[in-house]
This record gives sequence, C-alpha cells and structure tokens, in this order.
Amino acid sequence: MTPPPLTVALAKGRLLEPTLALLRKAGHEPSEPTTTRKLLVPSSDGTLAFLYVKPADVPVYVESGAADLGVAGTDVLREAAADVLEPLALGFGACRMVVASAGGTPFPSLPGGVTPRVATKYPRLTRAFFAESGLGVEIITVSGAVEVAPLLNLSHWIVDLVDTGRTLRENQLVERATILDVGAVVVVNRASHKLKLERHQELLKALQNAR
Amino acid sequence: MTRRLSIAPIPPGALDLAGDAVRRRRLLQGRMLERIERGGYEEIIPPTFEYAEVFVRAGGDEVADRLIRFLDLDGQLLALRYDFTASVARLAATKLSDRPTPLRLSYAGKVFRQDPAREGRRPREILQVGAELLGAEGAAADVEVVRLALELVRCADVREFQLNLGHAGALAAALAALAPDQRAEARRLIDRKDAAGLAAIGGGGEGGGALQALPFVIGRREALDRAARLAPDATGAIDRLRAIDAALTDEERRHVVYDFGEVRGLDYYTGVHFEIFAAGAGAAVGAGGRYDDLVARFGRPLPAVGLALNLDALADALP
Repeated sequence: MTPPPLTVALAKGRLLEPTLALLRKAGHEPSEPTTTRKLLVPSSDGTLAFLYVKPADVPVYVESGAADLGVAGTDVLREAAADVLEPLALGFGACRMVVASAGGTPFPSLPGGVTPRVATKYPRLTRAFFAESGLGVEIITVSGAVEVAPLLNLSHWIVDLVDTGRTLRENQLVERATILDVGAVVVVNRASHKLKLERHQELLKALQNAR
Repeated sequence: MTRRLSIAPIPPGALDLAGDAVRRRRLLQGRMLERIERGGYEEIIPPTFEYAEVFVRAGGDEVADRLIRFLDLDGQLLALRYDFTASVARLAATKLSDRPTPLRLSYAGKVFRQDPAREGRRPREILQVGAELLGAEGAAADVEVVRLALELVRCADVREFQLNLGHAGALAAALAALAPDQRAEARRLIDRKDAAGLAAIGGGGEGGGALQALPFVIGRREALDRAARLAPDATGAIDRLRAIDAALTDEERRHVVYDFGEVRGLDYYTGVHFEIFAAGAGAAVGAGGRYDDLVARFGRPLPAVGLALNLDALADALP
C-alpha cells in the first residue's frame, strides 16, 4: 500500500520559481502547471502533494500539521513566531529586513520629539526591534506597497524587505538599520517529522543534494 | 439586522466546549483515571492558582512570561495553574511530607498557559491528565511511567502513536563545554534540527563530535548503539535507556523511538524524558520525564518521574 503523499506548502510569489526549480532538480515535479486552480497538486510520482498558499500562510499550515512541510522565508517565520523545525536553509530568496526613511527624514529620532510612525507588513518584528532599541514608535500595519507610505505621509519610516535596494531608491528612501537577514528555508511540522521520519529524511537529503 | 456580538464577549484563548467535544474528553478522562488508579496512584486536586513564584521555581525563568498572572488582595502576584507538577512537588514537600515513598500521585484538570508572541490566538487552557511517581530513582520507575504513558494513549483509540524517548544526560557534557551564550544558540539550533547552523557553531571541545551528530540520532534499539559510539561520555544515560528497552514488551517497543534530538525542558528534566505523538495531531499529545532536582526546590530532596497527557489534543485528533 502506498502511503498518502506528504503535503508540501509552497509560498506563492518571489520564492515559488526557485522552490519549484529545486524540487524539480530533486526529482519532484508538480503533475500540473502552477496556473492550475486546484488546491492540492500531486507530484508526478504521487509521493508529494503541493499546496500553493500566500507566503505568510506557510508557517500556519505547517505548524498546525495541515501541511507536513513547506518552504518559507525567515521573514514570515519570525513574524509568525512559528514553532516548526527548520532543518535546511536553501540559499535562495536572500534579502534583508530593514528600517528605511526618506532621505530628509532623520533616524533614529525626529525633531521636536515627534513620535515616529512606522509602516510595515511585519508589526511583531517591528515592535520587537524598536522596543529592544528603546525607541517608542507608532506602528501602522499595511498589507502591501509599504514603500509609498512615507511619500503619502502615512508614516515617517518603513520596515520592509530589500534585495537590491532599487525599490527603495525609486521611492527616495534610505536604509537606516537592518533588523533581520532573510532567506528561504524548509520548514517541517514537529509531529510529522517524528511520525514520518524516514520520508522526511529522504526528501531533505534529496533537497540538500539538489541545492 | 446584525447580531450584537459584543453583549457576551469571551477572552482570546478561552475555550467553550459542548456536545461531543465534552463527551469525548470525559470518556477519555474517565478511562485514563481508572487505569492510573489501578496502578496505585492517588488522585489529588491541587489549587487552581498559586503564588506565581511557585511555577517559576519549578519550571525556570522562561515560564514567567507564559503564566496568566493576577494580583492577590495584598498585592502578591498569583498565577493560574501553569502545570500540575509544581503543585505536586510543593505538596510532596509539605502537606504530604510524612507519607512513605514511593509516593504515587495523579491528577486531572486544566492548566493555563499563554505565549506572548501569539497574543492569545491559541487556546490558553489545556485539559490534562497526569501522574507522578515520587521517591523512586531506578530504571524500574522510568519503565513504570513510560508503560503508563503508552497505556493511557491507547485509551484514546488513536490510529497510530509513538513515544520519543531521550535522556537529559546524553547531550549534557557536549553542551556544558560551550560558553553560555553559545549553549543557548546550540540548543535553539538543535531544537530546529538545523544541522548546518549547528556545524557553523563548531566547538564543543572534546564533546564536539557528539554535539554535531548526537542530536540527529533517532531510531529503535540500534540508535542506542549509534549514540554510544558518538558520545562515550554519555554511557550512564545510554545504559539507562538500554535498561528501559530491555524491560519493555515487544508490543510496547513497537511504539518507542529513541530520540537524542529533544532539547526542550532540559533545564527541568534530569534523566529520561519523552514526548508522545499521535497521527492526526500536529503537535505532541503528551510529555513526561524524570526531574530529580525539582521537589528539593520545595524543601524535600526526592527523585521523581512523571507524565502528563493533553486531553484536548487527544480528543480532537483526526480519526
């Protein structure tokens, strides 16, 4: 009897292409193109089933056990404070989570003792960073287009991911401090890893060799 | 017309249970308590709240943030029961101090925990059943508790389950060779099974090899031989696990996996420790182990080994 497939949660967006390329190299190909509207796409040999979800949802699926494993950025993992295994860093998706402000807006304090407003998709990490630094700020949670927040006077500063820094430059923003180095990692549900150990070890080994 | 939801709010993480959810919990709890009682354990009902310090004394500093705390009339800090073990240790050292040993105590009820990083999105109360065997330090006591754990999980009719058994002494020498901040980092990496990160830390002095490889040794009896080769200075720990393995029946052994990669609770456990996993549950459904230093923190040196099962997780495990 073939065991049911391991469910793999994959983050849609910037990590999806390199993740699929790695899986392909490790011998695991989705049986249908990623444009499919199916929720669960089996791999061609049926040993895995792929689940395409929003990046921030990968830790949720994996921690609860709804997915056995997944691929996620350490940005969403730390933001969710997800209690999962992180056995393998994949070496792609590297970027940094930084504080940035408009060139003319000072950091780390504003003139006249104004409380800085910080726009971000990562409220928990942002709060932790400023609390640790002893800086009182007001955090504004947005779900996208963070870099325009200072231009529109929504916030003084932002906390967001930068890769090459081009988006920041295009919006006249300057990097002020690094909060976290980010990269793609394999995450595994703790109970699944214990109960399906051999299958996880096999898959992790294949992914490690394909890196 | 919109319904007025605000008329009867419920705090985040508080549980309302009814119907089958309750019937199933009570059924499992009844079966388990009966089995525990047959083993000679006396049920106790400790207080629902204690001085917060009692739980921190038993569980360490990291427990402090996870307590649900409130002020007493005189301003002293109280906390809802974080675990039963702290109260059991306090009781064994005080009210029950004249009882002969071994002392077998059991309990059933809620524990209250929160994770500040999760802001109350998870349940903040968990229904537990558990047992503690105090005043017995031999392998026979460890076997009694492991066997009890297996039988209790069997009461829950789960499809498939597994008990991952480790020993706090196995990694102790390798971890002790690290500087304190490195030690915390090594434990975090082991906890995440991050082999590359662990290799980058290196070090560990003489126990370095054990530090890199031992956390990834998981398996049946042959894992004990592998562990013995990797960590010659952990003979005591491995011999204890061998003694337990020898005492288990074939049927019991089918559910036991030796696991040298568990570092949770290392500040607490002094000997064997285990976690139980069941098909259909995304996290451990039970845990236990030996904590020979704990009762002494309340004034009575007394070796102890115990277990607690999460009835909510077992009752809700997918069939």
